[in-house]
Amino acid sequence: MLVDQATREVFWNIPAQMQVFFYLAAGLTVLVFIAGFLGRISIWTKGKEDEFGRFGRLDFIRLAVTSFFSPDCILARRSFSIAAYRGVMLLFIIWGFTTLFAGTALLTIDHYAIKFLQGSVYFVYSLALDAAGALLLTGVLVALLRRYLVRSVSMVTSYEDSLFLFLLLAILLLGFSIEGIRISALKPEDFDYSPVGFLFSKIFGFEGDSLLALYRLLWTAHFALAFVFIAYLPFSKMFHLFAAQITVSAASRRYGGLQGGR
Amino acid sequence: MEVCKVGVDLIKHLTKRQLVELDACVHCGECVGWCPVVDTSNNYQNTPMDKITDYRSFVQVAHGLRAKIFGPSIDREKLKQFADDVYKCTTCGRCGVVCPVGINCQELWPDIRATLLEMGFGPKERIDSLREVLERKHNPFDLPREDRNKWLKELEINPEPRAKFAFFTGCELAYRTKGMAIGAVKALTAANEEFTIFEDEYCCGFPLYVLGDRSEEVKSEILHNVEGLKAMGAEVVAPYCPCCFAVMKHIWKNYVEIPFKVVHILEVVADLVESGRLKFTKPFSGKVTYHDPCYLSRGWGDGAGVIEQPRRIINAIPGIELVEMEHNRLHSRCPGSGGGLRRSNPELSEEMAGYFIVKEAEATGAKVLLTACPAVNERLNYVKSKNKTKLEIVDVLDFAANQI
Repeated sequence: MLVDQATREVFWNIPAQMQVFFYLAAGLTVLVFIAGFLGRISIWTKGKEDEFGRFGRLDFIRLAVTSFFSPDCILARRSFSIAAYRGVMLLFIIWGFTTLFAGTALLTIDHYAIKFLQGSVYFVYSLALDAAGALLLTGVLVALLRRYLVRSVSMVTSYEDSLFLFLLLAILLLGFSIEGIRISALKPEDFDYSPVGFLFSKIFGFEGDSLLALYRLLWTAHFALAFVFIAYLPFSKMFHLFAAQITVSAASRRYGGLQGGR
Repeated sequence: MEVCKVGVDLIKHLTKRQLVELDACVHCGECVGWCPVVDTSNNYQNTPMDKITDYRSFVQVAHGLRAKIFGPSIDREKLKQFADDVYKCTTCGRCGVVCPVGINCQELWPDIRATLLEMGFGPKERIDSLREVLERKHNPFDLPREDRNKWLKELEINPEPRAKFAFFTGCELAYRTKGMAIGAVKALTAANEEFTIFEDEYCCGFPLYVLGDRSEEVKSEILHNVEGLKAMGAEVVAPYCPCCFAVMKHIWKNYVEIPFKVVHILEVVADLVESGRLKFTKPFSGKVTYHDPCYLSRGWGDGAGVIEQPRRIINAIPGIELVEMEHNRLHSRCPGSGGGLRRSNPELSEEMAGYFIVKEAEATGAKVLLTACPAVNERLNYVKSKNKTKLEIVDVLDFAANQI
């Protein structure tokens, strides 16, 4: 492929029947997510009046979004004040996750509306998402290390803690694997500006129909786990993705700013 | 499994922010290493994060999507066990300081207790007994009303009948740690600060409130105090007991409009020292250390703590050397006497007892450990009596008053 025509083909190697199944599963996932999300936020609105006054669901959604971009949240300052490695771990997870989410949204716009992920724009996009995936993977691995290897007596791990960390790990590894297979099969110019994907492509160095079949299998597993993650999110501790930035912002107004452990 | 099917309102006493906080907990475990109850009991099933996530589960089952579809279904036994656990807490607030998502646990536990108490869980009999004592004697110790101001009469200092500034004694200082009240009043008098004392004080309401009692008795105690202080012309009211301070500053206004400002006596005395109106002329040679009470350093979880003021007072004493314990300011340790624990779980409270604080104080090389809380003072002196430590344990204003 010529450099200025470089782009991402959505649903490469995925037959139409699988795409239909994908959309049905996506629709169901979104419905379950919305039902859970609204159910959870509705409880917030039933609390006694406080600094949030008469906040309704939309107010809380708006607050969750704006609080996310506050320095305390986006720079994980409270976690850094506890321990530097915690801050770094959280930053990797926050930035990795957010970039991948934004990347998926951009790809959707590119696929259904305006084609702009081409050429050098696509290369920047591809590199950014690879870096984001690597950041998120590193953050998840540090979290796993912390829970299972370098344990302190205060580390009490529930099934939910394990479930989500391993789920994220699996989704990430599957994502890099299918990228590796795509690079191995298509051999794009400059390995598609995906250094991590390029490394994974070395694992899948074989060719032929078996590689393409493996791609479809891993792709199915990747999106199935991702949809499970999304659908289950509002019913689990992962809902802190929407709650924590609100409490972090509120806490920043206490104690004259940040505190944390020593 | 006995199941509650209907009429379960687990969020009645929780604010919107508290409901968000329940969902914000990521179960990271940071609070566990700082909890004095876990430190003492080694019970890693009853940690702040487990209390939060357990209550979150109960709220989801009672009010969440599943409840809307299938109806609420709470396991009463689990809720009962949870209630026992939530009362095993001094509300010291250390967990909230170190929480990476900033959950205000100090406010959360009393409000959860209130919900559970109304459902019939928790140490109901002990709380009913406390309420009954307050209804009769207006102090939690069941001591005679007429003894409340004995400390003042013995002092031969006469506060003004009316003044813009009022010192709020509180039950602990009036009946038990009189040295604290005496120290405060001596400091005010030496600085020629005009003040009054509402001699018909009732309890501030904290003992019942922190245990989750939201009955009319709490309101009655508060209203009486507010009206009495107002009638004495008070525009600024300063308590000493940190629990009185916390509840007067943050809770009283939920019951009645407060026509005066609430400050802490240590803030007032620090200002008097810095303005030169209060001078310490007697030097003290040696090291002292200071323990930050939970409700003065961490506030009522709002961080508007009184932290540097006692240090400014201490450092104004000539010759003194103030050294800090390993855990100080927002991270100071709790000796196990707060949050209603002495009443709800006296055995656990006694077990906690403050040994860690005394050890840290000894490690500084200080001769004197200064305190600013009657419950801390009582608990640390109990440790002293058991361990024969050479450390002198004194209230900070009681100590400072001797250096005037």
